Amino acid sequence: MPVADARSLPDATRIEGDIVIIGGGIAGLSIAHELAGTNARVVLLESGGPEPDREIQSLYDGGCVISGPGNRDWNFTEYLGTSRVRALGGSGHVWGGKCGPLDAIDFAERSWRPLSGWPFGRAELKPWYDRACDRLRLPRFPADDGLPEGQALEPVTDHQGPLRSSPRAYSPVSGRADPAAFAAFRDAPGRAENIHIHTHANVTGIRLKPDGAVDHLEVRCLTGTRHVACGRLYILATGGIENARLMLASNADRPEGVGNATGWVGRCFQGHCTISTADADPRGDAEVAFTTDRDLSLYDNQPRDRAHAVFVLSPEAQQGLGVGNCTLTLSLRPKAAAAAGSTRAAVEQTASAIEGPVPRRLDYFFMSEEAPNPDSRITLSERTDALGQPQAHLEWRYTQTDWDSLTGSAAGFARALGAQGLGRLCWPVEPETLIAAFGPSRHHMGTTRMSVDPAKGVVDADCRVHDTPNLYIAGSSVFPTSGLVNPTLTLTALAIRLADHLKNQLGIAR
Amino acid sequence: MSTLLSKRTLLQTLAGLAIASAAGLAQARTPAIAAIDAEGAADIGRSWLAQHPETASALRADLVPPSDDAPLRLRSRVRDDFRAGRMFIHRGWYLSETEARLCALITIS
Ligand SMILES: Cc1cc2nc3c(=O)[nH]c(=O)nc-3n(C[C@H](O)[C@H](O)[C@H](O)COP(=O)(O)OP(=O)(O)OC[C@H]3O[C@@H](n4cnc5c(N)ncnc54)[C@H](O)[C@@H]3O)c2cc1C
Repeated sequence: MPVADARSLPDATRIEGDIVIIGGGIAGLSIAHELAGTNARVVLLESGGPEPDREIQSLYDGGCVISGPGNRDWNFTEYLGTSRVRALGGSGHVWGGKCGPLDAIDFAERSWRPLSGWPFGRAELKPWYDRACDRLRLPRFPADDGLPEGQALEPVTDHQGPLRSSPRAYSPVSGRADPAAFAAFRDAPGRAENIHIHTHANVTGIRLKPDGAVDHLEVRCLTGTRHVACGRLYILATGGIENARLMLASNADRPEGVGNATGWVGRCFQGHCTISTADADPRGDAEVAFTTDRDLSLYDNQPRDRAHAVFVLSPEAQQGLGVGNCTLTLSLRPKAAAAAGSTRAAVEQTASAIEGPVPRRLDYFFMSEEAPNPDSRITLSERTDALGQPQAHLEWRYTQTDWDSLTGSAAGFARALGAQGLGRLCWPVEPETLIAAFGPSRHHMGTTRMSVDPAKGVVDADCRVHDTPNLYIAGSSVFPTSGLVNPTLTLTALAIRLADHLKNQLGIAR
Repeated sequence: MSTLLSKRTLLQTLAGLAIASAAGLAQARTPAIAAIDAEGAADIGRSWLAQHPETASALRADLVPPSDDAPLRLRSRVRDDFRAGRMFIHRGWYLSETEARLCALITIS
């Protein structure tokens, strides 16, 4: 069916389907791809049109404060409006496309990490990771933490030491990287007979029946037109912040909102702390000085047409240090030599005297996992958007655990690099300037966390909302812990897995 | 650069330190010693010594024992330091304790 504009439907249209998907980003569209050509009538309600638009985008405005012990708060008001895109295709319009599967340890319950543990492991998710790779046009990643097949470049790490290499690859399905590949992904579901995409259709309320199941959705257009949408099953796929916002704002039937009987909706927001030496240290002293003459090309993250690797710490090293997962990504651009008389020059030359090779100075990019913190959360603001909906407010709160994890991981990398004779590391940030040094990621995770126990989260292992039997959630908001990989491959795998589950639930066939 | 060459560099360094033990490091200007930025090393060395007051002779005896395999031992000692987490942090740099002591020796010799 061609894509229909909800603004041109007669007022109070009742839009009906077997399955109603709210949000046409990578998560919602991946489910639509899977259901295309089946005997299910699928409705996808999307706030935006095919291309980003300023007025629609402003529906995403909201507040954001980033805080942490000993650091000055960062009132980052623009974050909610600039870290995602409200249009068909969602943030897929602008995302970098960098992908990898979560490490096996990211799924594990780790005694030293509070609130950690997924209901399933990486091995169980492997078939859907493979299909997600196919959907996003990526090479498939092997079952272990190895590199994708056909990778000719050699890692400088082994499978025994504390330092490991973890694979990454770029998806071309990105409006920024390859507009044609992205348009093909965005537009294909709408060509299927059974998929009915309605653009400019903002879901503003999830209404419940007395038994707690979803009864219908309230849909509004910026023109003032209103509709309702009804289905047998509903999937909320509006992104890691908006999923929580819509559930909290849907408080007409239950004051705490939808799916929020235990109060977890909006809590445990996790992004990824990112620190790059190039930004954090304008003097240019911070670097990793490699004292090996082995080829580092595998770690070059620039080429988009082949996989590359980032450094990670082994599970044993993470446990030994009591830290979360973290990565060190290299920039292979040569860096200016150290000034005479500087500490940097002395360190490099001392390391060279010990290890042999003249050090190669490289900038690096450090990314670290945050511990789920119930006080790091999305709440509703008193301010409203153009549709009268309360804006989201993000209180992105770090704890001492995060600070210890960050600095502990940096020390862990320094240790591992030195122990293997690979190099020396300079970490550029003092604990009280961490927030000032951050480049916040655009990864929004954890706000509708997955848990086996309904008392400890929002959705179950099938991504079904614990107390709302016909409502499912797709997207990174279901991640109980963020792990340390960019989230989109995993959220796509979960979306495809959810589509399979729905097919079983409804007995959907081709 | 080959391992052989790196060993030679190390040998030169240690030779320099050995000479230094007899004649004073300031006078010993082998290429490898000269290659270590004395001013930068002094910055690290002073900082180390402020926390670990040690004499030049003690450092020298510890770092340059009379032994044929001294260079390799120094390298493996540095790696062992890192492995065990014996690190000295100066201006954000994570050095092995042995490297920091080496800088201290350069500073006070
Ligand atoms: C600049 C940038 C770079 C990034 N780089 C990477 C990267 O390299 N790798 C990576 O893995 N991730 C990256 N990300 C994150 C990645 O883009 C997201 O993880 C992913 O796109 C999320 O997909 P989604 O479908 O869950 O959510 P979204 O993309 O947010 O899609 C949600 C959809 O729901 C619609 N919607 C919202 N509210 C409503 C409503 N009330 N009613 C109807 N529809 C609604 C929106 O218009 C949108 O289409 C990046 C993000 C940005 C912004």
